[in-house]
Parts: sequence; structure tokens; C-alpha cells
Amino acid sequence: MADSLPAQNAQLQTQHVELEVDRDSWLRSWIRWKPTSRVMLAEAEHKLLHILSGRYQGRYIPVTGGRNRLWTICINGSLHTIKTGDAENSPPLGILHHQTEDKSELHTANGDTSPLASNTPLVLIHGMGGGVGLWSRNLATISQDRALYAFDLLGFGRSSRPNFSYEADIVEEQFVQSVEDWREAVGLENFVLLGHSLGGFVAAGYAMKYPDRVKHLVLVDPWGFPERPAVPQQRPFPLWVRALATLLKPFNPLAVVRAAGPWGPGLIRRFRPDLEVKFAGLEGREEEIPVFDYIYHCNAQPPSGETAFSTLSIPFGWAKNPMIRRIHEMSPRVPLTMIYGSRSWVDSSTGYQVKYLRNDSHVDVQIIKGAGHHVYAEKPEEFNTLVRKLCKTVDEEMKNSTQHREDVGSTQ
Amino acid sequence: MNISFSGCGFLGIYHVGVASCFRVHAPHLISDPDFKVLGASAGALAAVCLVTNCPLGEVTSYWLRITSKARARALGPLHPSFHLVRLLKDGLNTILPANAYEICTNKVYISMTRVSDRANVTVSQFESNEELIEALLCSAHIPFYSGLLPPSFKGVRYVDGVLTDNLPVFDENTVTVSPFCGETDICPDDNSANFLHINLANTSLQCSSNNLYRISRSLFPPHPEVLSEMCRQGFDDALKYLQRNALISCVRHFSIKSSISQCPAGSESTSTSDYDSESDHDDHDPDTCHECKKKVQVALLDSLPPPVVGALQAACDSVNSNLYTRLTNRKCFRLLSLVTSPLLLPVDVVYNYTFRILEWMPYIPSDMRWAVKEIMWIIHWIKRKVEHHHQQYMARYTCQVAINDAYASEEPGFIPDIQGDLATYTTSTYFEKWQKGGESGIDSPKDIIPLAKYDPLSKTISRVSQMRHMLEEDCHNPIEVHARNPHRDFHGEISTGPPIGGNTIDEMCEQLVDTFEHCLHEANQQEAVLAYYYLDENEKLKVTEIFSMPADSSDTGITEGQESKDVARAMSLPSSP
Repeated sequence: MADSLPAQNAQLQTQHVELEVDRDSWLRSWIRWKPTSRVMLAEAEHKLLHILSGRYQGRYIPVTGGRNRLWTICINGSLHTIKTGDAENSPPLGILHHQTEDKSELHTANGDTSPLASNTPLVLIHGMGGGVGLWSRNLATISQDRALYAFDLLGFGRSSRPNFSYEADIVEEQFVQSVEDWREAVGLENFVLLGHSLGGFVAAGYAMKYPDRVKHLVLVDPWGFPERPAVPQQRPFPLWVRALATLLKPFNPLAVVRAAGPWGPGLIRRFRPDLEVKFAGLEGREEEIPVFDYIYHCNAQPPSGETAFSTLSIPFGWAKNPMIRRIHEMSPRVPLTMIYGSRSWVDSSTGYQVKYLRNDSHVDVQIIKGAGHHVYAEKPEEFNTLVRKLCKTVDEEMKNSTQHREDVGSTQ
Repeated sequence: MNISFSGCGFLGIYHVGVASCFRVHAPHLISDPDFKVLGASAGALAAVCLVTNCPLGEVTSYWLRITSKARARALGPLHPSFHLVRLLKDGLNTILPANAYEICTNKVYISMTRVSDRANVTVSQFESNEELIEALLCSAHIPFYSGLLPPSFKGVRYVDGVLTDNLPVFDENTVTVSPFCGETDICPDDNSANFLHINLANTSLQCSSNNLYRISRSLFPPHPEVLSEMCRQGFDDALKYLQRNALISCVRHFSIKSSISQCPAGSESTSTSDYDSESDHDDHDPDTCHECKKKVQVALLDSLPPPVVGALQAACDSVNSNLYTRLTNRKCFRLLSLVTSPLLLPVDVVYNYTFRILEWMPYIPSDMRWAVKEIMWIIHWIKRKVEHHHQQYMARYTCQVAINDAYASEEPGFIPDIQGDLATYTTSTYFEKWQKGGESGIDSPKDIIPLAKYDPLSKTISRVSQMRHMLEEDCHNPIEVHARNPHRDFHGEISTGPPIGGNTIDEMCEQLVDTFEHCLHEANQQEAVLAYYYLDENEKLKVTEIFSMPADSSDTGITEGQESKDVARAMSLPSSP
């Protein structure tokens, strides 16, 4: 099995690459209803990550026994040691393979002599309907003193879009397993795990199952923590409101964007003009920020992660199995930091509840003032400083513990 | 600290609740000289009421009176008997104190939309109470809903700020208030975890049935009971905000806190000295101060102030106890009034509009003048748009022909790119060796029709010369030359040298300079066979002159031919190193 797996993977990737390199034929581009394709998504992501000026590598990492792949980008680390068949002979993965540095340089940068290599790497998981591109305002800064990995969750962005189960427990398990497979493929021993929104839910699930891998868990405006509150008695809505709500219930949350076809990108632009302000580049880029395009292309493709999200939730966006019920099961060894935006719809009081429930371990609740749900994009300076600071404390702890071990060893 | 109230039509009662909370629990914030309030539409009304210290009970009862009038008839606020502008004006005239404009100047910022260019404007300078009321009416004028003609403020016509910026923000420290659940500092919590949000005119809205209901009710007011619930909700949400941000404390301690937070980091010494001097007076820590603790505890259980509650109660009572309103609120009565409305409506319309027109009489001349001016402007704009397109089309067409010819003749194997976007030319220098007939491989004879107007001689070398900026008299200005191959661009400024390094580019530029001077020489010597001009997108006048040159007349013709080859070769060189 172990021998056949790499071969299988190589085969799988070849197929996928063909899929991607092959641009849409003119006929298909004329008759298609939604103006989107994987290539367009890749281009939008490339533009959005322009800020890194090619300092990153991108690669597909096979997970779930090679059946699916997670699109991963990496800064200061290496994705070349991954056992994905014969790396030299396999075709370039993905049409945009940003590798400006020499391979040799990469290896030296990743060698044990580098000060960066000894620091705990950081792994980012994005939220619902997003992708790695949404971290564009953070990647450069938070990767300054460590290796940084960010990947598109299974069913989102450029990753594979499989059919998830229709059971909430199994869907969660599938997400968590994909993260573990990814870790194994990339070859990380332990890391700081940061998840936003739905990514926070998955990250918490992962830390619960694999506590030894997670040196510090950071949850940024995590979804799926609180219980659905008992709805207070309120006057019934007018019939038309109820009818509309009932009508829209069976659809996926972003079905409207897909159904709108050619008007989809305009729809996002019209109804979320704030996104442009939030994701506007740091150094005052003149050209248009392609965040609308990126979000559109992320979500215009067949919904897979979105369906999984629907499975995980009950009406009005509450989780079917809220984390707050299970958070005490998490190993007390995992330190936890929760970052909330003060204006966000995610209730920050849940953070304090978690703190209460995990009174035997480190839980820190931070509220960033003036930020909404996309904390990392709205207040990037505060967010980046916070994340860098807590990563540094993790490094220090690691160093202390190894020193302690060495000391113990020498005395014996 | 600043507060911004969003526009929300009749749901403005929510702002009344928020305002009363601030007045009860954070009066030190309002009296702070740096405190500023922003608002659009109903938010602006609330802002003015908060700042001018209007009795909030009265404001509430006025507001509810307007809503009950809006609900009185079959078509609600659309009924001709409901005159929102007049009701608001009367209400403001009675409520506002005589010096309201003085207080509001540079303290209240009203967001509105200028009609002429649909831009958002924020005003905060008022000369009199009339002007202040004018501004408020402008900010609350929803086109067609409140009336056809937009009102004016200081002689300029404005409409509702909701259309452009519903939630004006001053800086990072602006506390935003909105009665719609969304990503706002003070807003109702709908108990929904729906991640779908939309953002309209700077106001964030969560997609929930509650918000849908609220939006539908913002222009068609609900029952006073619903409104009083909203008012209470506003009070509670504001209180929650004050508690979360630890803004409730006794006046003395708040002044200490604010002096620390407001001092910039650079002037730390002053802030600490402030703090020291304050704490010298009173060595209590804000955390142990009994007065603060008491205030916070009282706030926990607090609710709307009695005058507001009284006004709300009175409105509910009047609806519920009044026999007439009780009857009209019955479903059968509503149905009856709907059925009879087609019969009664014409009468109502005639009756009410007669009054309105009589009222309008003195303003008719100025309003009509404005309307005519506006219509004329629109017509003019459309005309200009059409003409503009026309000109653009012509210019494009001519350029295209020239390019096709040039490359078709020099490179027989080359396929001209007809779709290439040639509108990017500013000035162009290119040479064409043009011979009548199809011998040089011109794709279709149709392409040369516009140039064929001036009967070309066989064996002539004509050329399309430099187009000069006629508006720029100064010849020393760098003249941009763009030569374009449909496959790659070359841009160079003649007098300043090439923008990109590399030997090939340098050579190319030299050649171009040469030919350019040559062109200039020829242009000064001869008269043009064909000259035309057009305005480009930037309203710059562009002139093109076409000269005819006999091949055998002089050596210029020969050099010309040589040059054209050279240039064509140069232009097919890679343009980037």
C-alpha cells in the first residue's frame, strides 16, 4: 500500500494538472453560465498575493489517500520534501508555480542552521467561502520569523471539491482527517494552528483529536461554538417574510451568487463594497484589488465545502454540535487564544465561557476594537502583532523545555 | 469619541432609545467638547436632538404622532394626506431650542447627497435654525417618497444621505449605531449566526428575517408597540455597549480616563501629570470608587427614562383605547378601506394637492427654473455623450487602416490584428508605404476607403505624420511617441530618452528621433493632403495631417523608404530586455 500510494498520487496529479492547464475552449467559454474557471481562480489568487512578490511556493498536497488535494502555499518553508511521487519528473503542479528562488537556496533556507527552522511553524486555516488569498494582508508580516503554511480547506478555494457526508459528525471528522493527512504529507511535527470562522471550528476539532501536534491553538472569530439560544417570544413576522425565509432555507448560503451567473461578480461588488476597503493593499496599490474576483471564483464553483457547512449547521447558522459542549474534552496541555472583532456577529462572550470551562489551562480572550468578522483584514496591524507575539512565546517555551530536558539529561 | 447614527426611516425610534441611554449613563461623553455626532436621514434628526438637549419624551411623542399619521390611511405614508416634510418641519420648529444651530455647528455632521453630481456631502455649518432644519429635511428627503422636487440647503439641491453614505464615519473612534443587525457597534442582536452579510451604502446588514422585516418597516411604520420595543432595544443595546467598554463611571473618574486615552503617546508626560493631579485630589482608584460601582450596578437594571416610556405608553394607549382606531385596525375595516380607496382616492388627491399647490405657489418660479435647468443639463449630457462616441469611432477607424497597411506591406507573412485596441494612442508616428491596388497584400480593399478619398498617385509614398498637441504651444515639452506593433508596445519619450534600458531600445529610439525630425521638416515644408482632428478621451485636441510625397522627387523619398523599413524592423524587436 505504502509503495503504491506515491505512484497513485503522481497519476492523480497529472490528471489534475491537465485539467487546469487546459484552458476553456472558446465554445465552452461562450455557452457557460457562470464566468468562472479554476484558471481564473488561480489568476485572481496570484494577483491577490502579488504583495508577496513571489516569495512563496504553491503546491497541491494529496490527502485522504490521494483522492483529494489541498492547495497549499508556504513561506520560509519547503513543500519540496513531500513524498508525492518523483518530484523531478512529475509535471509542474498548477499553472502558477511561484518559485523564484533556486532550489538550493530553498534547502539552505530550510536547513537546520537557519534560525527560522528552529521556530515553530504556523498553519493558517481560512473561513467559510474563502481561501488562502484572504490572508494577503497578514502573510508577509507573520511569516517574518517562522515558516508559514496556509491551505485551502477541503471543498473550498482551489482544493478538491469532494462530496461530503450528510452527517454532521462525519463531516467534521472528514475535515479534521484532511488536516491530519495534510500535516503528514507536509511533514510537520508540531505547529501553531490558527483558524478563522469555519476554519476555527475545524482547528478546534483537530486540536481535540491531535493535541500533541498543536503547540498553540488560535481561534479568530470562530464559528460553531455557542449553543443556539432559546428564541425569545417575539411577534410573528408577516407572511411574506416567513414565506421568503422558508423558500430560501433549502438552498446553500451562496446559491444566489452561483445562480446569478454572469451577474454574480457584480452582485458581490454591489452588495459587499466594504470588502474592497477591508482588503485594500498595504502600500496603496493603485490597481483594483481583485478580492471580489477572488471571492467570486472561490464560491462560483460547485459547492462542496458549502454543502458541508450546511450539514454542520442548523437554521440561522448555528452549529449542530456546538464546540462549547465539547471544549472541556480538549487536552488541557493545548494553550488557547481566542481573538474576536468587537463589531463581529460572532459573540465574544463565548470566549469567556470557554475560559471558564477550561479553567485548568491557558485561555486568553482578545477583542480587537473596531474590527468586524474579518478581523485579520480589517485590523491587520493589531492582528499581526498579536499573532507574532504569541508565536514568539511558543518558541520561547519550546526552547525552555528542550533546554530543561537537556539539563536533566546532562545531570543524569 | 464620536457617534454615528445610521439612516433608517421610521425606525429612528431606535436612535431615541440609544440617545436616552447615553444621556442617562454617559452624560460626560456628550458634554465633552470634542464629542461629535454624525448622521444621515433619521440618524441626523436623532443626532441634533441628542446634542441640543431636547426633551426626549417630547421627541418620542412627536415621532410616534408622525408614525400614527402615516398609518392612519389605507395607503399608509403614500396617501396624499400624509405630508412628511411639513410634519417634520413643524416638529423640529417646536422641539429645537432657539440656539440649536449654534450648538450644532461643528458638532453635528449631516450626511446628504448632492443632486447635481450624486456625491456625498457632509455639512456642519449652520447660520440659523432655519438652515439647520433645511439641512435635516434635505438629509431625510427620499426621492419620490417625500416629494418630487428635492429641497435645497444654502441654494444647492440635496436628497437623502441614505443613498450614498448611510453611516458616515469620522475616524477610528466613531461608535456606529444602526437599528439593523450587522457589524455595527450598537445594533440589535438577532440571535442569528448567519455569516451572510450585505453592505448597502456603508451600512452592514446581516441576512436575517428580522432585518428583512425591519427594512420593509423603515418606510411603512409598524404598530406603536413594535416601535416602543425597538426604542427599548436601542436603550438596552447602548447600555450593553457602554458596559462592555467600561464607559459607565462617575463623572470624575471618566474625565481621568478620557484624559489618559486622548493624550497621544508622544506627550506621555502630560497625561501622567494630569492623572497625578487628578488622583491627588482624590486617591480613589476607579475600580474601588463607590460612586462608579453604584452607577454600574444601577445601570444593570436600568431601562428607558420615564418621559420616553410615558410617551410610548401614551401612543400605544391611544391606538388601543381609541374606539375609532380600534375599529380601523380591525381586519375587516382595513379591507373595507382598501376596497373603497379607489373611490375615495381621487377626491383625496384633488383635495390635498390643491392645498399643496397653494402652499407651493411662492416657490414655483425658483423650483421650475431649477427643474428646467436640470432637464436641459441632462439633455446636454446625453447629446455630448453621443457626440463623444461618434468622434472616438472615427479616430479609431483611421488609425486601424494605417497600421494594417504599414505591416501588411513590410511583412508579407504578418497577419494584421484588427481587433488590437488602438484607442490608446496619444500621438503616433508611423510610416506607410502605400500603393494602390492589392499588390502589397492588404486584406480587403474596404479598409482603404477612407484614405482613398484623396486620389493617391501610383508610386507615391505617403505618410501619416506626427500628431501634435495643438493646445500645448511650448515646443520644448517632451512629445510622447508611441509606435505600436500589434504584438508588443513600444513607448518612448523623445526628449527625455527611453524609459526602459537595453541596447535595442536605445537604437530604436535614435531611429525614431531621426524620423520624427524628418517628419517635422516635411510637415513644415508641404501642405497636407488630408488633415483631420478630433478630441480624445481626455478632451485633448489631436491633429493628424497626411502628406503626399512623390518617390522620385528627391532623396527624401529614398531615405523615407529606408527609414520605414528600419522602423518597422525596430518595432518588431522585442520591447523588453
